[in-house]
Amino acid sequence: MDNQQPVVILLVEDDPGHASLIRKNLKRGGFLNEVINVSDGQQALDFIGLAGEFAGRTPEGPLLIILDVNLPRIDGVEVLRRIKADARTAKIPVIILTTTDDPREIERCYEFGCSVYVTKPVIYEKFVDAVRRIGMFLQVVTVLREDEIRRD
Amino acid sequence: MKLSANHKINVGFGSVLALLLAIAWYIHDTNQRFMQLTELQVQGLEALERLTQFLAHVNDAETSQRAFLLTGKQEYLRPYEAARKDIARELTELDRLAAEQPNLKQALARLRPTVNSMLTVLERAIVLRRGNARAGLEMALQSVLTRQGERDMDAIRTAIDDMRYSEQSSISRWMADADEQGGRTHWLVTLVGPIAFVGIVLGWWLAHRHLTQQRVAIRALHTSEERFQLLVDGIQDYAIVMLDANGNVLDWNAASERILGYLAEEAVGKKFSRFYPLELIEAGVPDRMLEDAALGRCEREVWHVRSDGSRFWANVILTPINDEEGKLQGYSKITRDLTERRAADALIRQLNNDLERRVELRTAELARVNAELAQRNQENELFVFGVSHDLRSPLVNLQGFSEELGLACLELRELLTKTGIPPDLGRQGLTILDDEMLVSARFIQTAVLRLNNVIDALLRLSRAGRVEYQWQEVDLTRIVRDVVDSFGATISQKNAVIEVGRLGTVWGDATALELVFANLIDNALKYLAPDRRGRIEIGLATRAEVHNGKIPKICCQVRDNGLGIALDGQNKLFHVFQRLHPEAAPGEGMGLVLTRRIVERHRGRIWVESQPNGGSTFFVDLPTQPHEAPSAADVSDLEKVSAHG
Repeated sequence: MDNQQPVVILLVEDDPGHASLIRKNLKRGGFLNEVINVSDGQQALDFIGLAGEFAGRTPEGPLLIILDVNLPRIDGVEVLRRIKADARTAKIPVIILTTTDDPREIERCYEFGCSVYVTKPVIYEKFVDAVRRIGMFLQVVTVLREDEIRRD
Repeated sequence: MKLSANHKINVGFGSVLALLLAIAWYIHDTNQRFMQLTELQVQGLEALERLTQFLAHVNDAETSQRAFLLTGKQEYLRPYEAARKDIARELTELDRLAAEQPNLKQALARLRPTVNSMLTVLERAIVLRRGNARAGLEMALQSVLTRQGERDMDAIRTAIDDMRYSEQSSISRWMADADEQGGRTHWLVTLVGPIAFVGIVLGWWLAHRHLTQQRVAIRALHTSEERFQLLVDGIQDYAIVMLDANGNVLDWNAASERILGYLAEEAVGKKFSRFYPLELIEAGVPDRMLEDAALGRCEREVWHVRSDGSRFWANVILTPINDEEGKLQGYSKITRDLTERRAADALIRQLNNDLERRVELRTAELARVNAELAQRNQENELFVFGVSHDLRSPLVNLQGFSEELGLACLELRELLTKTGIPPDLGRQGLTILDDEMLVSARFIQTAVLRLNNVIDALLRLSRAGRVEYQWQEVDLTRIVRDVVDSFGATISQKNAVIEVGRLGTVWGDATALELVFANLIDNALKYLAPDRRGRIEIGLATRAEVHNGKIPKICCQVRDNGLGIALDGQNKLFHVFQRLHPEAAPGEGMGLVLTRRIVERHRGRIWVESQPNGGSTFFVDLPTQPHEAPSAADVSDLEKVSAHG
């Protein structure tokens, strides 16, 4: 079943520093899942819709999207809106990760159907916890065994 | 019926006069009768006298005749002759007196034959005696002896006595009557006289008083007329003209010559329309005004023209004058020269128009400036918003990687303490790690945190002006209690006491107001004095009801017993990036700016009263009723952000 397959994390983040930090912290938090990083909204939509440069991609299992809001070309909120507006992709969990703590924007994102809204600078313990909970919900999170962590 | 004073006087005097006439007539009548009675008495007394005389003459005649008879001497007969004449005279006189006395007349009538008879007897004896000297004596004696003469004589005496008696009775009666008449007259004169006198005096006094009053009234009337004339002539600013029913000038006051510009002799007797310009006369304006006035009163402002052709703007009031029966007698025309006022009015209108135009221009300019300011404010806020975001991105990296650095240091430390590393090298490495790298990383982290807080504050501030408020009635007491509850940990940590009194409801945005009190309480907690137990009281200020301006408000206060603020500090308190006690607590110095911005967006006011080390009291005015809330980009908001942000 698809459920048994490990989740793929799509990280939509244009700042390479932020992306790197997220990867590090996810890893430190114990996630071994594949993290694919795209740097703008259009790429994200292409990836999800198997279009553009990702036209030939083969879906490898359930997807979790970590989405920045301030993105070149198409911004994060619009990406979120389109994901949630499309029935095929509407169920994909989306974690919004942004520098804005504007309540209106937070509200807007939740209205559009984001799962979690995290404000940068990220308190990574909380962030990882949120990702884990979503993963548990999806039951697709690949968790390192203890010995593997040690080895790492 | 009420009688007029004149009528009263006439009636009064008439009555008195009639009374006097009656009295006079009565007195006259009485007097007449008295005179009559007196006359009767005189006649009666004369009659008595004459009767006595008559009897005496009869006696004389008889005596004289006897003497002749006896002597025959002619000389003795003379008294007889005289007595005969006297008797005849007395009888005639008595007849005259008896004319008004029937009793006497009858008595005389009865007496006369007896007298005649007696005289005849006496005469016959005398004739007998004279005719025959001897025999004559005898015969004469014989005739005497017949006693005829004696009987006649007795009869005459008796009759005369009767008559005298009767006459005396009459005289007594007349005297009594006369006395009575005299008495009446006396009483009348003594009683009625004074009464009439009093009446006349009273009448005279009343009449005099009435006449005096009339004279006073007439004089007053004259004075009043004179005064009125003086008044009318004294009026300077009004031409007062009397017109007859056809509109011809009858009379006018002194000022008319000057105002209307005609001499009296040029105007009196002429139509009043000559005061009007020709075109108005041709248009029938004066006639129409007269017609209008006849119906009641006509007031109008029209052009007038003087005899020299100059014009003036006149206020004209035409009023009809009717007699007592309501018949039109004429008009009064009151004219005032309003040329100057008209000019002044025009000037004022002109000035008003100018002013209005200038106000309009100024208003438009203000609106434009306002719009510009609002625009600039929005730009400012967007700029702050954008900059904050742009700053935050690198900040996230700084923060993240400084943490990574710290973690890396920890890993490196682990490596250095592992066996297999030369002890010298390990020690040096650890020193670098702990004293340089970790310390640096920590400084970076502190700086980043601080920078992050600043950016947060700037973002909040930029948002405070933009966020749409949910206007509603807010239970301020509940909000403040919630805020205080949320500070529970800090309060117990600081061992402070917070008391919340009743605040009531205000009109505003619950979230924003929460922030206001959170900031104020946070502030108070931060700057408590370390040497005494912190005490914060929140409640209504004594000047709880504020009505200046149009919006009813309440005034809340947050009072603490903390460090307090010096005067120059109080002025800066609500400005951006002011921190008065940086040593006392961490902060960005933005809390009160934000608070002020929120309060002012509520159309409220915030200020502080404080003394160094004497605690501070923050006052907040908040409206209790809906009002026209300023828009997010209101000008008043703008100042703060553009000036300080």
